[in-house]
Amino acid sequence: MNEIAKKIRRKVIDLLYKHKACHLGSCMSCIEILVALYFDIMRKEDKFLLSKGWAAAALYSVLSEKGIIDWDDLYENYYEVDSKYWGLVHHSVPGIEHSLGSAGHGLPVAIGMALADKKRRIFVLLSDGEMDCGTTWESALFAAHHKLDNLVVLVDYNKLQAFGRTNEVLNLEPLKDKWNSFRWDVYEVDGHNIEELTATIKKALAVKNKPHIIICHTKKGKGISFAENKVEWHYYNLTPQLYEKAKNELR
Amino acid sequence: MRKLRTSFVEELIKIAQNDEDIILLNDDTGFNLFEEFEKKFPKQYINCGITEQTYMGIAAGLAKMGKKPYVYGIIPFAIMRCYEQLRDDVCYHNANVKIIAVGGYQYYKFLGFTHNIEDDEDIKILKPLPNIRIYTPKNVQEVKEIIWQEYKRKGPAYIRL
Repeated sequence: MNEIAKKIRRKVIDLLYKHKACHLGSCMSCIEILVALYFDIMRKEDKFLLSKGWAAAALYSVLSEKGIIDWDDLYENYYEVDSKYWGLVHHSVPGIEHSLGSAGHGLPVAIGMALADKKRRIFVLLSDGEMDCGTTWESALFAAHHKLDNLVVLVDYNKLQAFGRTNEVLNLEPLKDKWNSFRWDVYEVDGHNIEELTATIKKALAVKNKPHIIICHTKKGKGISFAENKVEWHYYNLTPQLYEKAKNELR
Repeated sequence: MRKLRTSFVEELIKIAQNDEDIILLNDDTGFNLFEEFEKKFPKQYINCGITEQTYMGIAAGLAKMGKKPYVYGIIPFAIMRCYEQLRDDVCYHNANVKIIAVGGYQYYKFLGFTHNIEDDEDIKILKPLPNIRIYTPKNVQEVKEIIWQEYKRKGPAYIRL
């Protein structure tokens, strides 16, 4: 599984370098979460929404590794205006349930899906920036009230939102206590430890009558030394030198 | 126009009797209107609380899984507070969500501008959105026809009562 994660990271930097695309930091911080879901947890009938739709390169790379989309097509066309592979996930791409990337939209849609069929498990990945959104807290009330135990929220808590540190922009702490007080089933994990992620998600799914939230402590830009924990890698493009350096680090 | 609203609920009750996918969502509005629907179909009625941005997203999610959501509210709340969710999650996805909004006949005029609209503001902001059909029925017969016509069509609709 760790090898798969490394391979996904290599695919992401190939895509971002070739097409001068941004969001490297956001992609790298959620690779293990996606690998845990797609290569262990999720069954055929389960659904996943990438609320942080700007990590499209990460999810598309995972989908290509699963054989759901064609890598060569993706590699040629990612981030091109006239292709379906826009920089934010789009529902015309196979395996993408809903177009997302406007912060705060994924969780309400996931709740609707979870309400529609309580036997089906719905997973949704949110950024820490989305913890600012009003819809997140409206949804927190709603999902707990309706006891949606088939809903699993994962938070990519890398502590860097688009424009600065979360504790400087709009402090989220104590985040775990907030969700506990909203009567959710709450966990904290190392979001780069696949074993811990899968074990925790499985444990959560056994808990009845409460929606589940896994707060994943992560590092923005994880795996690429010069991008780790740096807010600017929400935006920067890879230069030829940095691309080579990143490739070497991901061997 | 209370008659228009009660005729909508009467028709929806007829439809829901044979279709358990109908889900009626509201935003803590509709006093003295939905009691019979709720009693007959408790699993198909959700008062979402005052969460319009969220209820529009929930409606999109329900529709994605084959449910047929009817979203009810007073115009400024049902489409303006959640305009972006309506645009992105419902209209751009061509989601099968029917919006039933009230206040079009200045029903709430005595409450002032927050609960009311002027000069077809609602129509003006909905027109640019993709896939949505817009209706402003003037009498009970028109309401009945539109409700059944839209029930049979997949895609977003706005019905002003």
